Order: sequence, then C-alpha cells, then structure tokens
Amino acid sequence: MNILVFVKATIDRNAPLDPDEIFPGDRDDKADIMTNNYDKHAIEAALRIVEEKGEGKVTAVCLGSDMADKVVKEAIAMGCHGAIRIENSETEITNFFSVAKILAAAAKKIGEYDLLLFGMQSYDFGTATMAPMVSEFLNLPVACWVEKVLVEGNKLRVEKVIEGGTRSMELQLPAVLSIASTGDYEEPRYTSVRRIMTASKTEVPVWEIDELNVGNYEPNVKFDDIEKPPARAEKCAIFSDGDPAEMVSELVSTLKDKGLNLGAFK
Amino acid sequence: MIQEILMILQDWFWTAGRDAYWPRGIEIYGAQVGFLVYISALIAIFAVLIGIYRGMRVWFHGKYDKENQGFLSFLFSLIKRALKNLFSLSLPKRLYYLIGTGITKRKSMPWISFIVHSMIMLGFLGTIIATLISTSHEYLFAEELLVGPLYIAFSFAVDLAGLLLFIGTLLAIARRYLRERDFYPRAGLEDMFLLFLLFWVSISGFFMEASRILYGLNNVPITIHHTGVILTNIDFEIFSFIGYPLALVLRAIFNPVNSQIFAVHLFFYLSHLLVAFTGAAYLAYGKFFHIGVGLANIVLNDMETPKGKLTFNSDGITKIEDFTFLQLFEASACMKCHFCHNYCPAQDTGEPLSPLKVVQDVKNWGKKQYGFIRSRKNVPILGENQEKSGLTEEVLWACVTCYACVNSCPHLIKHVNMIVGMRAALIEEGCVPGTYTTMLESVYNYGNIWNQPKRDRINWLKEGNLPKIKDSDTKLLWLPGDTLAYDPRNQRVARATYEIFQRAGLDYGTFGDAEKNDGNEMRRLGEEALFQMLAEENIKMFKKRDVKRIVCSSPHAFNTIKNEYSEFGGNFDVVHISQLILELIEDGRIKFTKKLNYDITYHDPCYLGRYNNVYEAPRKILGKLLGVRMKEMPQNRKFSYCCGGGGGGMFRETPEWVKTRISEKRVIEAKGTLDSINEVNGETVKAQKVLVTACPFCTSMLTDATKTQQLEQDIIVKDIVELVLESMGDLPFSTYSFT
Repeated sequence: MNILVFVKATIDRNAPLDPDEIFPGDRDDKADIMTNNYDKHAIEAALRIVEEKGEGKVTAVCLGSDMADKVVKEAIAMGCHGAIRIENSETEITNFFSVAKILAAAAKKIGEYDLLLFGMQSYDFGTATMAPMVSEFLNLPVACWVEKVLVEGNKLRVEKVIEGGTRSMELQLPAVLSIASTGDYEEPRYTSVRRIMTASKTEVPVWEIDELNVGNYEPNVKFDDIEKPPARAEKCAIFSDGDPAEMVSELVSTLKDKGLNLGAFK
Repeated sequence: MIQEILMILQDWFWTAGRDAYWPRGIEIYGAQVGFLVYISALIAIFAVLIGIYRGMRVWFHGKYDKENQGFLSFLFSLIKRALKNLFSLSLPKRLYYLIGTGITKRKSMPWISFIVHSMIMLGFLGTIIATLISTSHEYLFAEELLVGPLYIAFSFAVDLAGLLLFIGTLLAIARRYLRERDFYPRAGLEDMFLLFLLFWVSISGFFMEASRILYGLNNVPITIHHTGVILTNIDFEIFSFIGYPLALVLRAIFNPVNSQIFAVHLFFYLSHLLVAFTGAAYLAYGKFFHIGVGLANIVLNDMETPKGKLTFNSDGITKIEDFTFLQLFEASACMKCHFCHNYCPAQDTGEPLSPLKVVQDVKNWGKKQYGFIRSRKNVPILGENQEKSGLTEEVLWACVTCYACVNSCPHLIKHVNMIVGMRAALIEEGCVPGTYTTMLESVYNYGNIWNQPKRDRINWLKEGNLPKIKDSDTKLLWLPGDTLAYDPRNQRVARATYEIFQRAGLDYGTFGDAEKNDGNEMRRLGEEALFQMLAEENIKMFKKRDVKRIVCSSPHAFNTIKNEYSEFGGNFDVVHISQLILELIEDGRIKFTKKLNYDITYHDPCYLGRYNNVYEAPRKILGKLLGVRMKEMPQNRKFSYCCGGGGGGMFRETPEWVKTRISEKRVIEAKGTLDSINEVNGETVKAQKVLVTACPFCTSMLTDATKTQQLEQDIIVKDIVELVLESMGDLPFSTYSFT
C-alpha cells in the first residue's frame, strides 16, 4: 500500500505578522515556518493505515521553497518513509489551481500510489480545495473531511463528516482523501526531538517543476494585494476609580455620546 | 541468708548446662530423624541457590556500567563499588537503613511500623543464631560450650528472641488483616503464609523447650537441702522465662508421663523443622528475598547523586534488557511494604498508577522472560505487551514525579527513574497524550510551555523597565520562568517579585524575552533530547552574560539548574526566590511594616521541599510576617502532598476515573487545617484564610482547585512573594534607597 501525503509549509502562528511576507519563501528565519497543522492529521492517518496493514510506504510530497525543507523533514521525523520536495523558490506559486495541477503531475510521475491524502484545509488560506481538484486532474474518486478509514482489499470504506453527522462511503482504490482534524486521527503523534534531529540529516530529493510535464498551470484567479487592516483609533475607556454611582452615570453618558441604543437606560 | 542466696546463685551458675535430660539409652532422634534434617537442609539450600540463580539471570540481563562490558569485569566493578561504598562517608546512612530505620519513612504510624519490624527482625536473626550456636554446642564442642553463665545468658536471649518473634508476627498479622487492611490492599496470602511460618517457629520452639524441661522436672530432680530452702538442680532453667513457666503449666494441667512428653516433643520438633526449612527454602523467593537483596542493595546503592538529578536510560526502556543491572536488582529487593503505594498522590486519587505495582511488574516481567532455563530475549514490555505487563500508558503518564515513592522506600528503590525511562520510550514512539504534544511542540518551537509567542514573554510587566542582565553589575540573574510570564494568575506573582526587587534596591538582570524554558519538565516527560537542547542553549546564554548567581521563581527551574545542568558543564550558584527574599529580609533590605490579618498554611512544593530540602526558608519568611497565624497541614515537609502539576501533570487532561483531583484533595486538606486555626484560638476575629505556596505550578493548580471545589469564598491561594509584598506596606517608592 503506497500512500502519498501532501504537506504544506505555512507561516507559524506565533511568527510576527507582515502582509508583505505571507509566503514561507519570503521569510529568512526558519523559526517562522511551520507544517500546516491540518496536514499532520493526514500524516497520522497515512502512518496508521500502513501500520495496520503491516506493509506499505508513506511518501510526503511538498511544493515549496528551501524554507519548506523543515516541513518535509518533520514529515520524515513523524514516520514517513520518504519525502519529495518540488522546488518552488522563485515564483512561489500559491494559486490553488496551479498548485493542484503541479501536485497531480508529481503524483503521476511517482506513479505507484494507492492513496493520496491531504489535510482538510491549510492553515493560511484555508480553501480546502486541493483534494477535490487533484482528484479531478487524476480522475480518481474523492472523499473530503474523512474521519475514519478502513481498507478492505481493493476497496476503501470511509466515514466523512457532514453537517450534523457522518456519512459512510465506499471508494475504489486508488483514491483521494482529505482527512478531518476530528475523529480517529484527531491527535497526530508526537515527534520527538531526537527523531527530528535524525531526520534533519536525511537527504530529500528535490524535483523541478519543469521535470514534471505539468503543461499549462497559469493561475485562474489573481489577487492584487494583502493589507493589514487599519489600526483602530478608538480606545477603551476604563472606569475604575471613584464612587460606583458616579462611575455608572459616567459610563451611561459616554455610551450615549457614542450613539448607542440603551433601551431602558434612557 | 544472703550467703545462702549467693550459694544458690553460684550453684545455678556453675551447674547450668544445656541438657536433654533424657538418658542416652532412649534417644528418640536416631538415624531416621537425623537423616530427615540433613535432607531438608539440603533441599532448602538447593532451593535458595536456585532462587538466587534465577534472580541473577534477570539482573545480569540488565545494562552493565559500560557498553560491551564483560560479565567478569562487571562483577569486579560491582565488588569494587560495594567496597567503595562501605568505606565512604555514606556508611552511617547505609547502617541507618540496614537496621531497618528506613521504615520510619512511613507516613502514618512510622514508629509502630519500625517497632514491629524490629521485633520480627531481631526474633528472626536471634533464633537463627541460637539454632546455630546450639548445633555447634552439640557437634563441635561436644556439649561443652553452653555451660554455666554462658548457658544462662543464652537461654534468656533465646526466649527473648522467640518472644519478640511471637509478638511481632502477631502484631504484623493484626495490622495486615485487621487494623490496617486499607494500608496493605495487596498483602494477600503470601504475607499470611510467611507470617504463619515465623509464628509457628516461635510457638513450636517454646513447646520443644517446655517439653524438654518438663521431662527434666519429672525425672531428674535431685533435691538439695539447704537450710529451709528446697531446690531442684534444674531451677536455673527459670532463665528460659517462657519455656520454664510453660512446662510448669503443662505439668499442672496434664501431668504427662514420659512417653506423652516424647510425643509432644516429637510433634513440635518435626513441625519446627518443617516450618523452619520451608522458610529457609523460601528465602530467595517472594518477600523474604529482601533480607539478602535488600541488604546488598543498600550496600550497592548510589547515595551520592542528588535527589533532583534524574538518571535514566534516555534511549527509552522498552524491554527488560534496557533496565540497568541495579534497577532490576532494586526491583528484586521490593517486599511490597506498601509505603510508596500509600504515599503516591496519583494512586490516592484513583489513577491506575501504583509505584509498588510498577516495580513488581518490572520484576515479574523479568522473571517471565528469564525462567530457570528458558530465556526470551528482547520481548517488549510496553506497546503490544502493555496489558500483559501491566505497564500501560495510563499508568506511566499518571506519574507526577513528586518523588513521594522514592522518598518513602526503605530499600532506596528509584521508581521515578524507571517510570521516566519508560516514558522516554513512549515519547520516541510518539504515544503521547495530545495535550503533552502541544506543550512539547510549543517548547521546541517557541521555547515556552504555554504555546505563546516569544515576543509576548515580558507582557506581564505593565509599568517600569525590566533590567537587562548585561547592564547588571552583580550579574544576578532572575529567571521568572514560563508560567510567571504567560499565565494570567502567575503574572501577578511576576509583578510582585518585580516590585519587591525594586523596593529592595536589588541590582539584578533578566534575559527579557530571550529567556527559554529550563527543561525540567521535558526531562521528567522523558523527552531527553529536548531537555539537552534547552540545557545547552541556556548554559550558553548564562555563560555569555557571565552570570554569577541565578534566582529562580520556579522550583522546577531551580531543581534542574542546580542538579542537572552540571552534566552539560553548567555549574551555577542558584537559589530559589524564597531563599533570596529571606536573605534580603535578614540583610534588612526588606522591612515588614503592614500588619496583615491572615490565617495561613503552607504547601511545600515537591521540587523545593522533597527534591532539594528547602523546607525552612519559606517558613522563616512566613514566621516574620506581621499578623499572620500559621498552622501546618497534617501532610507537611517531606510528607507533603503534591499539587498534581509536576512531571507534566499540569498539562494532563483529568481522566474520567479521577473523581477528586490531587490539587482538590490538597485544597480540602488546607481548608480543614485553616478552619481549625480559629477553633484553637477561640477568637471571634474573622481572618482571611490563605493557602501559601512557593511554586507557580502549585499556585495555578491550587487556585483552580479552590474554584472547582467551590472554596473560592473561603480560601485564597497566594504565592509567598505576594504575601511579602503585601506585608511591606504601601510606602511610596522614594522612601526606599536605590543602588
């Protein structure tokens, strides 16, 4: 059972926010990069399926610049048997359509696969479109937000999240799944620092996009710019000292000045 | 008259002798019985040897001191270590354990435990020695040894030993099966069996003696007439102060004839033999093994390593072969005394963890893999076998590393090292509860346990400037630690510390937002690589700024910097905040002006008290505060209860089987103590009840517990630093000197 897991490098949630540097490739500090946390559930699912089956190989695939090396190696540290990084340093392609096309081409080049796994969405853009798009390009069955996976011979029995419950589905292998962050794979395994250290010494093959025979991957959507929202001019007024009765009347009058409907307090 | 008494005494002294009284001609213990003795002795010796061999098979599959060390060279190094330990300064401490004083580490009724154990121990040793002496009296000295005063002393001592054994075993049975049934839930049949053996040894011994004397009384009386005094020449047997009266009683009741006396003697002789040799054969099995192995363990045990320094196999313990020789040896020394079991806060709250069971599980797993002949190498003890071995993930993660078990063990077993070693294996496999994963990843990525950005580390400081260590002249470094920096409750403690330092005019510095986690919890969770990373980075930072002295707000950081950083070349002068504040008070730089009205009790943080023996510094500070009435909780100092926050427990999700959390139990105990302060004083003055502690984890855990137990209105949890600041009063800054 060969499983491909697609992982993404995103800006760390605790890294300083900068609208000019929204892509991992823009940053200089590796500490600002983290694995898209939803992808960890997908890796966990892949590892568990292989462990339960007793045979198979999990390969992590990542489209990203050299800053994404950390992410690929973390996938290896978690237990993936191999990893491939597709070099994306100059253009930093982030359009969903383009990325999906490149990933589908990469899967085609790898050739031997039974299952393609994605996280349910990404931490930064969160479009949750990658799994359906790749399945479309590869002409494979797809199930999104999968909580539970059961491999039965050549078939796949999954439970996916729908509003208000779950739905059972049966898919023919090979298939594409996006793994939900709830259910069976809710808690991705811990990666010990020792494993990270060991993994950081492994060589990860780097593929160029040109080698993949992608065809036309021009973005179908363009966005102009990202801006920080303007800082709020208004500040909190805190009434802490003084007589409670006075403080209340002060508060009420301030709220009235702001044009608030105070109902019974009028 | 006096002269006559002296004569009688003299007569007793010199005619006394160990005699069977019956004539040689009717010797009943002829060849057949003698043969039986030798056979049983041989069987017993054989059984003991087999038991020792079996134990050794397990022990020597543990790790040796060095990789690829040969068996003989390791044996040699063991002997060397034993000799070194015996001729070192730790000898008094080892002797202290040898005489069974370790038992006084018991939490409840320690002295009764000690007395009962001493009775059995002295009785056991005394009767064995007596048997050896009387055997050599007959076979080596041709019945010439035990005569005169020596015999009198001997017969008195033997009866004393027998009596001690008799009372001791009865008390022990009563404690196990009547009075303290809850204390010994796992005592079972083994204890009953062994105690019965010892009990019967004493009973049958007394009856043998009594029947021997009775025969003498019936058959050998040669009356000697002094003036007005009638004596028989075996009156000196009165020094067998149990056997002689027993003989008199038997004669009065049954008035037996010679053949009946023989029958009684034979019955007790044979049963004595059987029971004694069964006990001897059992020496190398079960509980009795502690007599030999425990002794050897006390000799071999490492007593120099500080308590706070955790030594464990950082590769993770997954199988018997991963334990060290000494760990497996220690496990064999465990005699299920239940002290750790009853002392463990996790066990107390209904967790599946019992330190006793962990040690026993390790021992039994070793025995299962290495039988008399069969050996199964490298069978995992965790993972797929965790249900069979009993060392499940729930058991291992339930430990709060409070050190209560190690502290209570009379045989110096280090449960925490075993548990953390096995945790390291779970970490390596990634079998970690989700909440720990978040915490560990946060430490790896952001250097703090609270999953917060580095740059927010000094957000707790609302006004003023935090001095930098590079601008400090004294190079005194203050490490507030992660919890003081990020946890909203503890940020108040951080601000209080800052203000105290300002008012005391202390010259100090901090790393600001460059500070990193100390790594103590990482090591306790078994994440050794992360700990080493943090330790090395911290040591590098300390050395770069040429730090002279470190003051830690967290006892956890204090413990690891003090005891563990030296492994990586970092030897620093480190104190806990309470010690520094005490120094400042004694120097007169902190003055208390405001009278508080508090009833207080103090909770000892494990990593300050039990791990590092800092019990007095916080208490001295509390004693100097004005207007507080302090009372100790029933569980204090080395017997202090845990808050449940250590060893990663802070981040553990409470499992459904825990009804009352560790912290909640502690708060309820504090409530009881604080309520009784008013009862004692009989005062009507209503004072605020305060539970004081000196650790950010404790503050946080106990504060939460007061909320969940609806005690918020009654008890406030405060860090000792906050109390000090309050007591310093509201004097304006300018009245204090700045240096």
